[in-house]
Amino acid sequence: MLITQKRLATIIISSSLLMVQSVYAADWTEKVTIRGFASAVYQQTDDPVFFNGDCAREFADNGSGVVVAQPCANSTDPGTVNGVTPANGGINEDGSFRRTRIGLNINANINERVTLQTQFLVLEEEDEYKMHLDWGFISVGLNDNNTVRAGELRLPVGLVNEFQSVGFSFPWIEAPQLFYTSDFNGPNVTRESYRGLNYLWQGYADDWAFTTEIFYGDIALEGMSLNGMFGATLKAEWDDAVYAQASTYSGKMLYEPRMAAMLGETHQVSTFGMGGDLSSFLFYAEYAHVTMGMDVQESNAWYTSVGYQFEEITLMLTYQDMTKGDVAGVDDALKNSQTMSSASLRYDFAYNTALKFELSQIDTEKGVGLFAAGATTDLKPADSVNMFGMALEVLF
Amino acid sequence: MMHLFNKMSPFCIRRSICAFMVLMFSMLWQVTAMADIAVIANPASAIGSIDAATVKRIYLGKLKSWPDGSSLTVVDSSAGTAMRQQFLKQVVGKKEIKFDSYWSRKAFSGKGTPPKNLGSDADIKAYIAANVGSIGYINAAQVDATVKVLMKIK
Repeated sequence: MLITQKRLATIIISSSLLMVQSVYAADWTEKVTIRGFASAVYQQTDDPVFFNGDCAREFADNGSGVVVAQPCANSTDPGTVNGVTPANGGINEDGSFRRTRIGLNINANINERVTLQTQFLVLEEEDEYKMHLDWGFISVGLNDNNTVRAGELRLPVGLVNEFQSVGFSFPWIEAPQLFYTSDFNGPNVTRESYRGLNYLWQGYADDWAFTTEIFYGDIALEGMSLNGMFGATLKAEWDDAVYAQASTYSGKMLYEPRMAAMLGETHQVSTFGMGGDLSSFLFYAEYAHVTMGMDVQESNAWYTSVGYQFEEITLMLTYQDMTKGDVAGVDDALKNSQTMSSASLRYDFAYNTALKFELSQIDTEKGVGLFAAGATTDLKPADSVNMFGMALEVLF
Repeated sequence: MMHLFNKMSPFCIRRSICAFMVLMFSMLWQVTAMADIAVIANPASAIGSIDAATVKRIYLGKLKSWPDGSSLTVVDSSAGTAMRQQFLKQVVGKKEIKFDSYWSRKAFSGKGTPPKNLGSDADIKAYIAANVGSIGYINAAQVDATVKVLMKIK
């Protein structure tokens, strides 16, 4: 069943109005909780080509029977780099604050079992900050272990995807982007959110915690729509210190996929990850395999990150790797292979406030990876690009 | 008279300094000393006592109702206080920063609601006295007949 945006909005708003009445009827300060987060982020590379920007490019026959990547759309527009400006996303040598964001989380307990949860996010879009619904859903607790949620939910795939906007909750400036970017040019592992249903089971035994999630819905993105998506996530956690998680989901790519050849094809994602916070030692490692109906879109992405926390200071070293279309039968010009090595420093200098610094080196072995350029005629990034980032993270 | 004052003043000054130091030391001792903490509930609660492992599960959101199935409201004290840090370290087994980070991941992904932060011992005590299903912790010296002690932490 296709859940349209309009229908979903109507359901959420009407349900919310009904529920809000009961919230107001009771003491609303008891029922409603408001909290938030903010991340002021600055990033800069030493290359003019935008990194992690949205370069819309087509794949087409070059007239000789060979499918090649076309230049970025509008790549010759003046005042742009390959048709891309900071407003389209991306970081280059001019530096950018565009990853700066503010989030507001509102939670209304309707009764003992039902809650209405929403999170709004203020982000820079096309040169101005705009607020949009990050997620919002109605949660019905069937009992202490079983919960059903309906609405717009974060996709529970990947160790940090569900709180990826909340910089305070992880040690890096951004979740590893060669794995987590939702840009089409990335591996397409995770999506920000989906509209639909989620069944959540949480169980505990001694020091162990187990979580199972089964989810169904649609993902609407610019350039692609994933419909009838069905997936599951399993997580096991020991003493809140070490955890492992496996996820899989698949759906049909319908409605204006960026590449016409993907129309009606299945998008299948499988991930496995482990993480830990053992006293002062931190580690994360994840792997994902993605297929999207075309060899050129088949991706593998993984990263590993280890670190140590010295009281208020946390140091992390991270290595990320992404390959896309790097399989037999694909023209070399269409293959992408990129790695990223980072050193991150986090300083928790006051309660719920952290300062972060990060140095990264992005190495591109094949293609352009997450750089906003086509494989054929656009301005190319250097094989090795450095990136600096700093961020101030706050919870309130 | 003036002669007597001059004779006494070094002693008085030394005694004043000593008294001041004793006062400061006792104040400092009060600040840094680990106070006993009492985990408390409403006197009408059917629960008579509780162990540390159960309190840990409650404060991590892993136990969402009382054993008899009645609803549970978890109350926390002011952020950054020595008592909260002591409670989280001794009972929950986490540093305050890691506890808050744990709940930020849950709250901002819509998978849990952190304990209600009420602030002072008096506020917590008043809240628990008025809400049967609630649990919290305060300085044991502040306990009175309006609440029931489930567990003491030394």
